[in-house]
Amino acid sequence: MSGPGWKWRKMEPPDLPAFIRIDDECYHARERLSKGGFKASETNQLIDNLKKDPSTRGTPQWKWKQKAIRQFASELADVFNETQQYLVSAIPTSTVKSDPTYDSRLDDALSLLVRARPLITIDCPLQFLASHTPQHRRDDRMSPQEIYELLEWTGFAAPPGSLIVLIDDVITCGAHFKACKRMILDHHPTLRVIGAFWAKTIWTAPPAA
Amino acid sequence: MREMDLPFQNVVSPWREMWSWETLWSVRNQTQKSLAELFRAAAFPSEVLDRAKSEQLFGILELEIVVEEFLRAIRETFSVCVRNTFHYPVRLRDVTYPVELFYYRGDIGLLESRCVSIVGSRECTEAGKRRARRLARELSKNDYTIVSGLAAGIDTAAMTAAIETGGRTIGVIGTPITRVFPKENADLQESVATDHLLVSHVPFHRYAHDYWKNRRLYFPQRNETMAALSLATVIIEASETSGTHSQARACMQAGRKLFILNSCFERDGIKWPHLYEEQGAIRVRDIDDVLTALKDSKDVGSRLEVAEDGAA
Repeated sequence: MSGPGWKWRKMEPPDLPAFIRIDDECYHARERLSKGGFKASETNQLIDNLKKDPSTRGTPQWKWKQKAIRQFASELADVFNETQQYLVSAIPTSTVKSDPTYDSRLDDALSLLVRARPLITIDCPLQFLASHTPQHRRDDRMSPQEIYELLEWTGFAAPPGSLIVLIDDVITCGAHFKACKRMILDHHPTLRVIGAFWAKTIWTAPPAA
Repeated sequence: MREMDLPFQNVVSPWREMWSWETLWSVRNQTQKSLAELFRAAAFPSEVLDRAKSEQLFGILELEIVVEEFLRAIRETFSVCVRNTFHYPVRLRDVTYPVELFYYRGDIGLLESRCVSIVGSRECTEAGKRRARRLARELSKNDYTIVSGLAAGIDTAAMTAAIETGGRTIGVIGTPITRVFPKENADLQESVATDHLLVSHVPFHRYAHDYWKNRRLYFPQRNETMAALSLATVIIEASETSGTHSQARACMQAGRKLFILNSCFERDGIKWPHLYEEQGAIRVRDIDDVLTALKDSKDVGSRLEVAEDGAA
């Protein structure tokens, strides 16, 4: 269910993604079912629409992607306090920004978020050195260590306060979050790094035929 | 973990909601009805508990510490679903005393599927078990999830048949999720929890400290939960005094379809099927009648229909 009065959940045992520990402080709104594709649930459909390939621009599918981005931004805005300042960063995607196939869905959602919560500052202090195969298209998932080694520190535009929120659309095992958190703490050991994810993947039985 | 400085608004900690809910349940003489009163003005157990604490009601401060300590040892063996968070099925609100929170193990995604309850007596006939098995098989083949109570008799027959057919099943139990009743069903319950979905609303602390006779009071609410989760309930067999009647009443109240097998009407000295039929229950002579009636019925909170142009 979703709607007014509806809340996000703190990730706690036994429902923590593989690489996430309770002190990692991660939150999520929805749950995406691992099996059954876009038909399995409303969230599966939203995530599928959100991740539509940038090459669908100009096709009838594009409006569904835009709609999903708007809903993502609107549900994100629910958890940010209007009167509080936040430093927010998107978790870098596997495709680098200079790549022509780069999908700006997270940047677009964060721009909409800032419109609704003007006290939010967006600043991403890290990026990937080069594009790589995303986790969901690999046979073996990359570990936080492997991802960490692909990251490059670019630094903050302005000195950060005491808290940074890392945002991604889906968390499955949490390897990207852990790698980014580690690199941020390398440079700012006292910063509180927390995660906010629109959907957490949950492992489900396949629907009957 | 206890004192949480949440950086966000509109977030809940399932663990905090769980100990709050359990603390409220453990207040002396608390009933489903008195709990429901407390939840009229608040949506979350932690809000109700905070209010009770600020008013220093029921010696609640001491109770909260005891309950939290009690729960700490078991808390990581199951998950918690809280009202007003994702996956809490809105359709649970359709009964008189809805649960604000429930515990589960297994695939919570099954709540998105179309569910049908198959219920009946623990002490049932062989013919009853055969009917339950056949119905469970047919419904499974037609993509329905079988909801049942993991009791002996009809429940066991229906759930076992659903699993054997390769279907899905949800077990809703009237004991804490860490307990098994009856013991013979330990393996079945574990298999439901591992490969399907096991649900319990029963509060651990209260249950452990309740007089044993009071523990049976959780069964009617379990049946209400099953009725609310399901599009429809099918009663295979039941005596005049069976617990199945609480599910039949909940179905009527929640506006769910209630099917009663014809064989129930034909048993000597049994009046209840006629009473429910007068209230709108459907007498079914054949399993196909159930399937046909279900196809015509409106989906209640079940898997959403995906618009073609919204598809990936």
